[in-house]
Amino acid sequence: MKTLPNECLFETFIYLKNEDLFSCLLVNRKWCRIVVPILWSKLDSFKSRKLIKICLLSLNAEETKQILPFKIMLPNGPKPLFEYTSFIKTIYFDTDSGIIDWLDREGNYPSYLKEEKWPINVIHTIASSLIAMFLRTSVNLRDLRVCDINYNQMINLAENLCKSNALKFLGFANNKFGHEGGKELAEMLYLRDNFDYMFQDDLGRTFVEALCENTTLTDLCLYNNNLCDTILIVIDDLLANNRKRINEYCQQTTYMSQFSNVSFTNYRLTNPSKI
Amino acid sequence: MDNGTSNSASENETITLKSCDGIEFHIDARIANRYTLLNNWNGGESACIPNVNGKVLEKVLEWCEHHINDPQLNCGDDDSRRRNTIIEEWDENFLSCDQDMLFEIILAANYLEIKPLLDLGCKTVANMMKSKSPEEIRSAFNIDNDYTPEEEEQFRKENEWAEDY
Repeated sequence: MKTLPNECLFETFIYLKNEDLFSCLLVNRKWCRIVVPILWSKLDSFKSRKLIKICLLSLNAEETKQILPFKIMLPNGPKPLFEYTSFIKTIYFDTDSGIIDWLDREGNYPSYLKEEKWPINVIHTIASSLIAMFLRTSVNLRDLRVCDINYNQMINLAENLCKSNALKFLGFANNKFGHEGGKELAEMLYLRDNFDYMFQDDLGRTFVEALCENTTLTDLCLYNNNLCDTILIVIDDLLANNRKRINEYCQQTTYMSQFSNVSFTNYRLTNPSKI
Repeated sequence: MDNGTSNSASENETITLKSCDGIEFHIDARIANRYTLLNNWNGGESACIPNVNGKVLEKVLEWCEHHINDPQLNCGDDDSRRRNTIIEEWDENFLSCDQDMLFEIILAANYLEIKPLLDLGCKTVANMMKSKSPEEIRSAFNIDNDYTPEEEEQFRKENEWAEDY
């Protein structure tokens, strides 16, 4: 009976959804070696506690240190058979529900602490540690999008950003890091000028001003923004100066633009096209 | 977009290809123009396509002929996962052959760099893997399990999140 060479198996597996890839990787060792990099290339949901558990196994001492004060029991299974996170190219850290589920069922989170306001803190800290770990170990990570992060998480992310060399796209949806967080982001952008694309919610003036310093950004997506006059003026100037470099997208902006360089459309498709 | 109209070959021009077991095929020159590798073996009295036998080459050329007017797509999204496994009816009938022949067609398409046929074959195989357990896949494709039970269990635990999607 004929067998397919690895390159044809690869071409076949890329058509499969995650649950089918899971079956395929359990077929035999050869299939496993081809399937694992495909399965792990894109983590676009963090609602599974099983995923959280495997990822927690990859934390190093420094990343674990932040979580220690919460006295939860981190997983201590055998060393994973692959360095799974090294295959990740895309991360959408879309929800904390996987972390919450993991804490509830496996984290042995002391019940007396659940009553207080600690839980939010412990969830955010675990998310931050995981993101730091991804930035350190995911050598192929090009696209990182996080949701709902607060100021402390923003600082943590900014501090760890230098560990990643491949990152080209960074997104913050529904962020809650406020103007102070925006300032940190701005400084980080000033140091790191190799992003191709930035996707940002509810930005502050400092952030927009920092964009003027960034010379390699080519796309800017402003989604769900509450843009005010002064910020629009800055964006307008920025676009006038960087016309060739930046394609901008304002979506569902609550403020009607009167400025020539800012293209305003309600409910425009999220997929950008080059000017 | 080029759909063959700018090809230099006219409709009546034919070229000759020979399979590795010596069977000759006279095909529309426009086919060879689309798939450059076929051109390499054009008209060779002695040259024949290694690795592809007459039975398989006949199928491959039948597919090429049916799709001669398809638009030629430049797909540069090699990196992305392709989720679309829809197959046209003609193609589905064409590939509803036995598994050995299906694999031979894929191997030939890969060897001859006929990308759309390779994609189609891989899609067909992918559809055969869908919604099956590892054991069902092994028996469908006649594959031996070379995992130790411990190893298999650990891989299961490390990747079972994929089922939660």
